[in-house]
Amino acid sequence: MADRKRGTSIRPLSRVLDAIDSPAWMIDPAGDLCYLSAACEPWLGVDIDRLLGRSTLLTSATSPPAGESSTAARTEADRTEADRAVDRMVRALAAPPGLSDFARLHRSVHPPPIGSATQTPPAEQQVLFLSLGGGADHVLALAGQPPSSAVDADQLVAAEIHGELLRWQQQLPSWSQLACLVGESDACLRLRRQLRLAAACQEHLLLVGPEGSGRESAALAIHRQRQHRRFDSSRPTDSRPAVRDATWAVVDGALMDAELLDATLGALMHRLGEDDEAHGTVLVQNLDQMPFEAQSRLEQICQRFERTLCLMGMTVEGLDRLQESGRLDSALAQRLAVYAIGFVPLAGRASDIPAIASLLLQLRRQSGEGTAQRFNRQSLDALVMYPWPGDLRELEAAVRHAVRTATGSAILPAHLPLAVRSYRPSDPAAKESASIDLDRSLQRLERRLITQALERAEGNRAEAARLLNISRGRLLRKIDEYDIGEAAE
Amino acid sequence: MAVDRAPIERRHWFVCEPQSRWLELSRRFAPDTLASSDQSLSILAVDAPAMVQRIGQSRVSVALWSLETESACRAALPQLGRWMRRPAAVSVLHLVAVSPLLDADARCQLLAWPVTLLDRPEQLPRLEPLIRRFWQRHAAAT
Repeated sequence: MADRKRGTSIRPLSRVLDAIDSPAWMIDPAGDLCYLSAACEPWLGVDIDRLLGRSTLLTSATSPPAGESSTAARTEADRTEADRAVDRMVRALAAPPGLSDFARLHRSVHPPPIGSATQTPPAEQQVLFLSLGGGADHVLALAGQPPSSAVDADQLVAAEIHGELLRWQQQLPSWSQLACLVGESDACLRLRRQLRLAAACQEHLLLVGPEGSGRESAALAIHRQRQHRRFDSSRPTDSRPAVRDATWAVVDGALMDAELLDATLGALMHRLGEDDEAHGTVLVQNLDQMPFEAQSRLEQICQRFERTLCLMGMTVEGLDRLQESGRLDSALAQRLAVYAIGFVPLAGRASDIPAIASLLLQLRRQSGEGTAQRFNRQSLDALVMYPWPGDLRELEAAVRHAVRTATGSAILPAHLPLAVRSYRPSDPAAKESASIDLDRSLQRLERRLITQALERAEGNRAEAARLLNISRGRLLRKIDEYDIGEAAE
Repeated sequence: MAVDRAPIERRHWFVCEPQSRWLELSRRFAPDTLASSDQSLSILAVDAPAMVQRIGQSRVSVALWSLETESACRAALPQLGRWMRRPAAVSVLHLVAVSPLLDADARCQLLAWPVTLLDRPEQLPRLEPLIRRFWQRHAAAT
């Protein structure tokens, strides 16, 4: 038995596997058989010591295992043929390709017999191959394990998403409640980096993104992280003040004027004036809709509490567009230009939707709502397909609706809101053939002709106007209207 | 603003599956893979024998095979294998949707071919750069 387990560190496991009737074996990262359970011997009809240490890989050189060299009675030719037969049997026990990608795979294994043709060949076995640890690692093969019909694809997908969520929550425990940070898309990874960086510094922030994309909760999370960081390592635990939300104020820019802003931020300003250690944050929603006088007043407040007040502005459009359209005070724009964080719409990161929805479901369950534990595959399909015009907020509402409606352990499409479950994207070809809009077609034609004329005239607008047989003024108006100036120059 | 161009060629996206799951998902995400709105895309559902015929006829296309059920696997896998043995006369990007419970032998067979495997529908948007590059390479070649 000691020989059988040589080269492995799986002795407790091997005792268990030896005790069961089904054959089991293990393959090391180099592809060599490093363990065979006791049940392998009657199944294969060969002394398992002859198989140990042999490579399961097709391309490897076949080397006889230890102990084999003593069979001096046989001729060299016989020995080679016997070796080949053993190698063929060992290769039949190999792990299926692609196992490292999928961690577990089923495969039927039917090894060829080693002895004479009259010997009964080993029975075919349904084998479950498990990659232990993923990547180039040991592989455990368990025979007598047919693919279980009890575990359906839905459950596997749910388990996979759950595992993804757990990994994320372990990596970033302090951000684990923030749904907009869940996922593996490029947009999500970028957002995660930006928010962590924002939490690590004390800069003013501009949060750019569509309505309902989770900007408010991200801003609050940053504020809390900053507060914790400030009171974290410098003081002993019992002397740290608790994070006080009196230093956090939210104002809606669209509803503010200078006077109302003073009244709203009065408590915070009073606190910052009294307590030298206090740091405050003002989150301004709809900053792009804030009247200019209120923006100027906000800038004055920021100047007054330059070192202790942090401003976070929420806008739908980026800073450049806001400045171009003159909707943002220049001093305030300069203040916010230091660090801008972009929130991508949910429709642009559809690959993250199942994980986000599962987190939202998990949070509902933690607060004691509903009985549902997972989404089934069809409901996840519906969530992925829907374009989410209301972004994350709409997804939250859909999950809330589904949790209240579902009675079993899985959320089905019928439990989702009607708009989500009935959404069907239209055929792009049908849309295209249906579009015979005269004005749009004429505009496209006009735009194409102007572009061609400008190209032919090498950007000379007077020459292009002559070619088109229109006045230069009219051409300039058209160029402006169709925004084709830059392309043509 | 990009210069407006006349439509170059209609691009084809064929879906072979027993139901309409991947057809709808393709309609949702495939138009995003076109760099310009002037390029038109047709997304059609076809059965396995028709798939080979259609991708053979069009000069450039994306072929999405769904092998999520045993019967779909039985119908589509031989057709896909037949296509893979042909000399590459036309440009086809093969996407294969598989179930997590797909038989290991079928999975091994797929791994030997130049196909992109999809385990879940949400992986389709992640393929956007790949498909976009495929369209662009074809546009550059023509």
